[in-house]
Amino acid sequence: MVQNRNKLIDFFVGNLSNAIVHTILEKAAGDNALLAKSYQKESINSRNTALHYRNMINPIYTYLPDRDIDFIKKCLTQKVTSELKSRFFKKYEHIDLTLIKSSIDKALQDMKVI
Amino acid sequence: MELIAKVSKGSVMDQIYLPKKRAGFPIGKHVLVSSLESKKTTEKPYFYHVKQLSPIKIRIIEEIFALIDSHVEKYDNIIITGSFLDQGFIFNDLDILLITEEKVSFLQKILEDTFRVKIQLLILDYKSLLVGLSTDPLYQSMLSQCVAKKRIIYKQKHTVIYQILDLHLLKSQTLPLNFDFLNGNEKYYLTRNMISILLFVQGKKITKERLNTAIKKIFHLKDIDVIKKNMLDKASFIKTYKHIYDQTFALIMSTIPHGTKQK
Repeated sequence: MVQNRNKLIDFFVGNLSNAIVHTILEKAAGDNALLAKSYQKESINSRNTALHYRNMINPIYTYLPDRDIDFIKKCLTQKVTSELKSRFFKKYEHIDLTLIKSSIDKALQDMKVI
Repeated sequence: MELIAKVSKGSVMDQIYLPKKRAGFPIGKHVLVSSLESKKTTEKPYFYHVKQLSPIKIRIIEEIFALIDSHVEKYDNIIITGSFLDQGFIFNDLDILLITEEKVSFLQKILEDTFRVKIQLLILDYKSLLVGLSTDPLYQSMLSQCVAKKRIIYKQKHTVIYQILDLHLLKSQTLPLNFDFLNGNEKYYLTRNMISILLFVQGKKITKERLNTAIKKIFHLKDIDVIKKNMLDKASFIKTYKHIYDQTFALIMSTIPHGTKQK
C-alpha cells in the first residue's frame, strides 16, 4: 500500500515514541532485571518497526531536512511527555522526565534523522 | 539368533561387521538392525483444555519431550503451548516452556535444527513460573491450554503489579497506528494481549475461551476468525479498541498504591 510522506512520518513518529517510552520505563524498572529486560525487548521491537518506516522516508541514506527534523522532534516530545506524564501523575515509581530530551535525540541519531 | 555389533563409519555407506564364523544370518538373508539402547516406556503427556490433537502433532510433542529429556539432566516439566495446539496444521511457531534450574540455552539451536521450525523456548525455574502465573496474564493464558510432560500443579494466586501490566499493555498501543500494515494474526495477538490484561486487572481467570468470548463481545464479532483473517471494519474496530485501551490503562493506573514516591 503506497502511503504519502506525511503519513509515513506519522507512522515513524508513533512507533519511535513507543520505543522511547519503553526505554525510559526500562530505566524506571530499577533493580528489577527481568522487568528491565522485557522493556528492552519491546523497545527493540518498536524501534525495528520505526526503522521500517524511516527507510521509506526520503532521503533514506542521509539526514532529513530541518523542517522535517523540527516537526518530528516536536511530535515526539509531545507524545513521549504525554505518555510519561499520564503515569508520573498517577505516582508510577521512578519515572525520570529529564531523560525525555536526551532519549529523543539519541533515538533520532540512531535512525539517521539528525 | 542375536548379535551385538557396532556401526562403523564408511566413505559412501556406514556398515556393521559380522564375524565370518557365526551360526545364522546367512549371506542374502534380510535382517532387522535395531538399537541396543532399551526403549524407555513413553509416559503419556497431560492435556489441559486441548480438545483435539492430531496423531502427528502428538508424535511431534513426544519427540520434543524425548529430545529435551536426552539433553537436560534435571527438569521439573516440559510444556507445549501456543498456536501449535490449535486445530489444523497451521501454526506460527512451537512454544515450549522448560521448567528447570539448569543453564540450557544451547537447547534452542538443537530443537530448531531437529524440527526445522521456529521455536520459542522459554526456560525458567519453578519458582519463577509460580511468580509469573500470579502476576502475569500472559503466563495464565499460556497455561490455560497446553500439553505437559508431567502433571501441572499450582495454586493460582492473583497479584496485580502495575509495572508488568503496563509493560504488556504498551505493546498493544501501536495497533491503531500500524493497522494497515499488520496481518490478521498480529492484530489478533495484540488485541488478545490487551483483553487478557483487562480481564486480569478485573480479577477474572484467563483462559483462551474467555479471551475469545470477550473479544467477540467487545468488538461485536460473529467469529474470532474475522480478526485472524484480517476482515475487520477499520473505523469501528479502532474506535472500540482505543476506548478499551484507555479503559484498561486507567484500571492499571488505579492499582498504583497511593503511598508510592517519585524520584
